Amino acid sequence: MVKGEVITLQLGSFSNFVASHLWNLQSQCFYYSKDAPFGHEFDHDVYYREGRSFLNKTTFTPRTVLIDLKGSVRNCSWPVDQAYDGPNDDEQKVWDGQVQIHKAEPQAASSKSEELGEVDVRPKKAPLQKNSWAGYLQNKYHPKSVTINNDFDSDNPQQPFGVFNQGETLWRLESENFEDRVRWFAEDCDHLSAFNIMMDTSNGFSGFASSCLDYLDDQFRAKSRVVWSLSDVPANDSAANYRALNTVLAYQKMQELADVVLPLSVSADGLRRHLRSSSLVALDPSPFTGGAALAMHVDSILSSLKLKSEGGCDFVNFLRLMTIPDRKFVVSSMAASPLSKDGRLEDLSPKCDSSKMATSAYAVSRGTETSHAIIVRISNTSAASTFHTMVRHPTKFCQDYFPEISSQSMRSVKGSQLVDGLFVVKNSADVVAHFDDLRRRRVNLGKMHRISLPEGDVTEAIQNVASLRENYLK
Amino acid sequence: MAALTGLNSKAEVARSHTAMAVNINAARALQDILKTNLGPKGTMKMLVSGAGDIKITKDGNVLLHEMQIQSPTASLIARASTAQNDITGDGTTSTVLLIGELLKQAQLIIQEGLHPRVITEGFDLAQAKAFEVLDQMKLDIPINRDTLIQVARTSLSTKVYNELASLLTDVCVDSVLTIKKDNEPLNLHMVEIMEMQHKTHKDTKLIKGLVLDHGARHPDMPKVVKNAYILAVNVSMEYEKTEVNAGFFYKTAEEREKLVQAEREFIENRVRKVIELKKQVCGNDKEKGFVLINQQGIDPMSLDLLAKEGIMALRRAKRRNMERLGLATGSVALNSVDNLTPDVLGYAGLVYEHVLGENKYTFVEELKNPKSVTILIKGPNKHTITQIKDAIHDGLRAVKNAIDDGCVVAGAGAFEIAAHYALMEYEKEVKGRAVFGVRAFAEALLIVVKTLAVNSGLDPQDTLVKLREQYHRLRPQPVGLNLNTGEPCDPVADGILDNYCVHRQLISACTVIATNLLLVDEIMFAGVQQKK
Repeated sequence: MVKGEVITLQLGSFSNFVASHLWNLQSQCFYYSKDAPFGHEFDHDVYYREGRSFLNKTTFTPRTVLIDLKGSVRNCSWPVDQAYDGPNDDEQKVWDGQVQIHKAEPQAASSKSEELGEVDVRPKKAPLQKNSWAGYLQNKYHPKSVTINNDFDSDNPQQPFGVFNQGETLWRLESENFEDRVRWFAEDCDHLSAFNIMMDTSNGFSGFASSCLDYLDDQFRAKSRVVWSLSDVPANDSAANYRALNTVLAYQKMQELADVVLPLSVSADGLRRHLRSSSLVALDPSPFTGGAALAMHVDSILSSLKLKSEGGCDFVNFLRLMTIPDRKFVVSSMAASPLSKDGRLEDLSPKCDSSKMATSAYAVSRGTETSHAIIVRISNTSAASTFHTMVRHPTKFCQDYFPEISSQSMRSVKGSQLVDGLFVVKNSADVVAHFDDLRRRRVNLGKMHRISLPEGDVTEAIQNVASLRENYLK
Repeated sequence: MAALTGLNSKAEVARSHTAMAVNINAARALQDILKTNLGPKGTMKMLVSGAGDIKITKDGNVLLHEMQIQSPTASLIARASTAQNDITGDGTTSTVLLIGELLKQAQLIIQEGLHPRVITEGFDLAQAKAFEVLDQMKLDIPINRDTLIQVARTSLSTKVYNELASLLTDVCVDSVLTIKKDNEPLNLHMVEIMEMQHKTHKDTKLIKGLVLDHGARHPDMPKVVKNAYILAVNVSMEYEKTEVNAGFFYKTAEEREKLVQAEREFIENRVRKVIELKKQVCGNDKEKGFVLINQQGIDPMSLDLLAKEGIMALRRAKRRNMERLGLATGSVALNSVDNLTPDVLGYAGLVYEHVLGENKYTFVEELKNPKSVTILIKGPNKHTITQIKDAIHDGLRAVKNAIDDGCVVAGAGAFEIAAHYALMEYEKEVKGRAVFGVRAFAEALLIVVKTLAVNSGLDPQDTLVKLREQYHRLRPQPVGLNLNTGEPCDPVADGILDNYCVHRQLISACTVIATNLLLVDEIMFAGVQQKK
């Protein structure tokens, strides 16, 4: 049977950080020769599309549409496949008068690297730029994929993009353009089956994504929607209340319009700077490193949904396995050495700790065959309600991405190499702890003057989170 | 001051003169950047982003959007100016210039000890007078094609070079005239703007019909359809995941097979209804064709059925294009294929496909009475296309404004000269110290003429003197500046016409912003860390 195509949406800066890692991981499974080390087990066309540039060159780019703000690319090269550039003919001026050139200042290299004389030491290999998602993306996007808004700045301390209604404004400004791009990719699909939505839940993009879900429901009613609800690590803790409210408002929309929601965060509660202590080996709070950790999980789950073999699961079946009516929020955890200690399963969902028995689970083992019994035991579910699939191709681990990992735990891993892992998604009451945490936040609209929403809407959204919680306790 | 720092030790405070200096400097810095691109002789700006990405523009609005503005005052002015553009589609650069100049003139008097409040009172008086002058200057000439061409050309010639401006002028005016319906407000959304990265910008043209950015997805479908009936629907013709939505489960593979079969038949029935309609209207006539345009998806099996009948089918049409299709071809967009009748069909003389790399375009042309048209922008690369697109937006707005206003005003600085003259007369009637405000306002208005002169390589004072003398002799006839000769001219005779609403909006927006900024005597940077 033909696998349906999936369109990915990357709504927000942090989502783009995760997605760049994701596409890097996906593309390392491309083999262009007949014999691949782990066999040709994937149907890459699920997430990628083949295109043709103006110069008749074949391209293979992710079927994705992303949104970000002015300045988010920093001084990295523009993340669009150069095959799509037209001839840059200077004869074709549309103005015969004078031209003044204004160059934006290139972002200064940090003074520290200058002190250490690190500038231009290794000119042969471009350094990994970790301050922008465009800096380490290996294969560039299709021109229709990239939307950068010019009305909001990505890094302006005076006007941070941190409130739900800013996101709604952004949607009003960009919707026509953004909708048209989504439609363009959809038109290209013969069997569009689902939208794979990666969104920033706790910053201003939550408003954008909520409006976007409305649009998808309106225009693509019968298509499944999988939402990766990603929380970045904030620069400081002062906006925790705003972040909680953004999340609460976004959850209301997701409960209504998504088929399954997977909250992921490297910070302990998704709201503040505090990183989870028990689980993952010390990470740093940058979106680059956090994104790399989360991307390993997202990549493995997505990879398991594009297997060619009969035993593999596709998006639609995945939803059927995972969701129970009204219980759309599921918990994610992974065990991938050396990122998680002692091969223990570590939770990636905020505030969740795998203490409760799960009603259903979906497990992906990568690289090694793990017996069903072991999976059932470590993911704390029952044997009958566990679906387990095996991906032969291991995932990749780059030491460069995790500078904080001490060299001791690194013994087996040198530089970057392929590692095995176990990735689990569970429908369990653990997520209640996350809802409780959100409800504990005091939302005082009188003091939160940056939010301009009717009070009724906010109260309703908070009540919705309470009712979400009840659904899991029944 | 102490109170605030007591509350927040990080807060920074700028007071009275310092505060005003901060505001005025920001306004003038912005003015300095933008002043060189005013008018048809202004310069282009090439913006190179940190990443080396190029953008070439002459449009103040685009510039303000692209620049990273850190100063709060500057970004306030930038927003007011871009709001001006949102409302009227033009006048962004002039807004920035005028605000900067109003503050500069005010500063001169404030330094002599006058209170800002008195100046703002003068501004208000002057504003009212300027509106009076503007109303007197309205030219109630018939808004026909010639007038519109002049208005559009005046706007476009400040955006792109002459030859291209003439081309775009015709395109803009003709497109608006085609979609204009009597006694109904003009909807510019019915002019579709389609980009094609192909050939050169001189190939930009108006298509009296529609261009869709997708094509038939089946190799056997016709690429050219003549005498085409057009059916526009919003009905899914692809296999859906009903099994999940409906929530019923099957026990055996056979049951599943049956379910899939039933769903498949359901979809096929929809396709058959379209085919029946095609047979009904076309019969065996080989001269007639049939085109299906669907807002929803059509999967390969359905495409196959349609292709066998020689129907050209397009899937996932833009939502807005469904409305445009109705206006262009006369079709009625349907949400169901039950009870199809021939009267919902639209008609087009020619529908054909054009392939460029991976992009397909479908042209729907030779229409009977199109009320929706497409401007097809061509250009070799992205930034040329963007530039032309920005220009066309402004051109269309200028034409729409002229139609909506029902009048135009003389351009080439004529309004500023006339208003200045009137205000200098008016000054004698004004009582009290507000007179300084009126005078500052009058002087500030001249910045537009001065800048036009400077940008054309003329001496600003020299030019001003000439123009004022000429106006004194000829008033109330408008006098403008001929940028090529530097001599006074009659803008109406030279065909330089501006929008009335642009001038009106310009005066009121600038006065409000300048007044607000003048009355600021304390700036508190509380909490936020200033970027140093």
